[in-house]
Amino acid sequence: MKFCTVKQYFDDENNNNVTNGIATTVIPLPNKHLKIKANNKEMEQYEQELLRNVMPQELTKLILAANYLNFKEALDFFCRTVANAIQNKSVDYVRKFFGLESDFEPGEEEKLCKEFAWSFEGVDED
Amino acid sequence: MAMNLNSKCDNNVEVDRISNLPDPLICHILSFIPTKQSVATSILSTRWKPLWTMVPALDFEDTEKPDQRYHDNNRMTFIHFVCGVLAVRKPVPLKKFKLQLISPNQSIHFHVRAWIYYAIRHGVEEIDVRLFLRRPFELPQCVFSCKSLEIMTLYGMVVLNCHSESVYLPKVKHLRLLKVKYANEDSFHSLLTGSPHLQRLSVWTDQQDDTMALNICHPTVEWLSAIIEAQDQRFKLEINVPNLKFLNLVDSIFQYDLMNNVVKATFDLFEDAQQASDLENYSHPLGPVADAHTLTLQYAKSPCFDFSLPMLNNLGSLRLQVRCCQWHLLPNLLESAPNLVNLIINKEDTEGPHELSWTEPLHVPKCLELRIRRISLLQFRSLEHELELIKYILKSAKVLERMDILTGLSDLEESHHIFKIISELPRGSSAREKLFK
Repeated sequence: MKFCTVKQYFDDENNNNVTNGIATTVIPLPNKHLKIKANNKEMEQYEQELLRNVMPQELTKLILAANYLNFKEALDFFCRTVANAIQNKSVDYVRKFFGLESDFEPGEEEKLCKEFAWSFEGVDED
Repeated sequence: MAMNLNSKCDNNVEVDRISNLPDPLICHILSFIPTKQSVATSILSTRWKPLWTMVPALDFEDTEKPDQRYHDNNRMTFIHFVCGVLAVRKPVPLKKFKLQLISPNQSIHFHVRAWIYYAIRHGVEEIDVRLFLRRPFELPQCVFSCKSLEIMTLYGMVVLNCHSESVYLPKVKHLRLLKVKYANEDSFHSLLTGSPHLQRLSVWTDQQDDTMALNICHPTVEWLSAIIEAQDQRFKLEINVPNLKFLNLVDSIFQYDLMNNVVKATFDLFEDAQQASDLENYSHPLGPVADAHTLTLQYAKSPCFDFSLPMLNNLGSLRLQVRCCQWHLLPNLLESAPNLVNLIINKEDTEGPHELSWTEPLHVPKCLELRIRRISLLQFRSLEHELELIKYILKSAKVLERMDILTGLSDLEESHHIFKIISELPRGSSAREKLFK
């Protein structure tokens, strides 16, 4: 039931969305997930490992793969991993993490900061 | 939904790693972080500026310290922030609304009400409200007729005031009512009867207004956790939940009736044996769960197991959380569980004084001799009475296949030392494996 789209994927040869590498990571997940589901600590460790070994870019590919395969638990897991990685971090850190560049007009950024000033208080300078 | 990935990106390290995700997926990621931070992502880039407004979750936590609060009049406060967010947010559905608030502010109730209205209007599926206020907040009536609500957690200074005609929560599956107050006796029952598909229920309450009984009654609940702080021994808890599969009960001294067969239960008993025997019509607390397959028991004082225990014939797995030196209770318990296969003993504290030592029972409990295949001992060291117990177990357990002993010590040398001592003890069963950690 979780893999109704997998069959579709294998049938569709022109599909670029899920490379083989990703398929090998995502598909063994349900077993691993079921095994660790009960144990939260192991899940955290697995998450840490995942973050260390898998570059943020890979992680986004995993998210896309899980989304395409309609695999909700994996999707939530990967998204939560990314969320935990950027939680409580400064804007600069998050920019670097995602590889983003600010494309605002000068002054626009300050205006935004003022608009929701409360948001920008008390953040890690990591 | 999914987008094509350009494989050339793989070679660049500093390249944009997130822009190939479509907006809905970025919003999904943002739904896992507090709203305070997801709003902050608006300054990452022009693409990110509006993304937080479409996130299907709101998580507000007032983390202001009391001294900060009144310091600067120009400073944006938590209330301003929340109102601002709700005003700017796009009218997309809201899946989850979470609010944690500590405030001495007298007018905050007005705002909280408005925020909850907002959530309900946007089809919220999960509400988690935890309030620490000067006076209790009455939950708006619209909550009790929310057709989209599936999970509700309420904690603290919240008052529920409803009656059976006004409650209809067709999708609610999980309710957690933690230290909330009820305007009247009817409110709690109305809430339960108005949630026809409820599966999980957590209730944490104290004896309100000197009521003498609490009745938890529901046809579909499968998982129940009840923490009842009752001071009066005569307090009666009635549980009538025919579909119950898992029960977690933390109680004081009172009686309860359980009108069904529970498969797996956890009991936390703080009984005082003396007081218990004074009760009229005393029935053993384990009576109602006599048919359980799995039982977890923990007790602080020397409890009622000196009394005749009911026979726990179906019990296959037992987990005991005990304080040090309470081994004299073990034989009694084992005697009443003749089919026990799996035993876990988790010792709570090792600090002295170690008063009682292990005395061997007159005859070996049947399950120990014939049935138990696996034993786990957690937090065991090599104290004399512990070793006596382990010796006895090893000697008597004829079909024991595996024994795990976890010392919980971080000092490996000491663990190893204990391992050595224990592995030198004589054993009664031929095939068994031992693990030490």
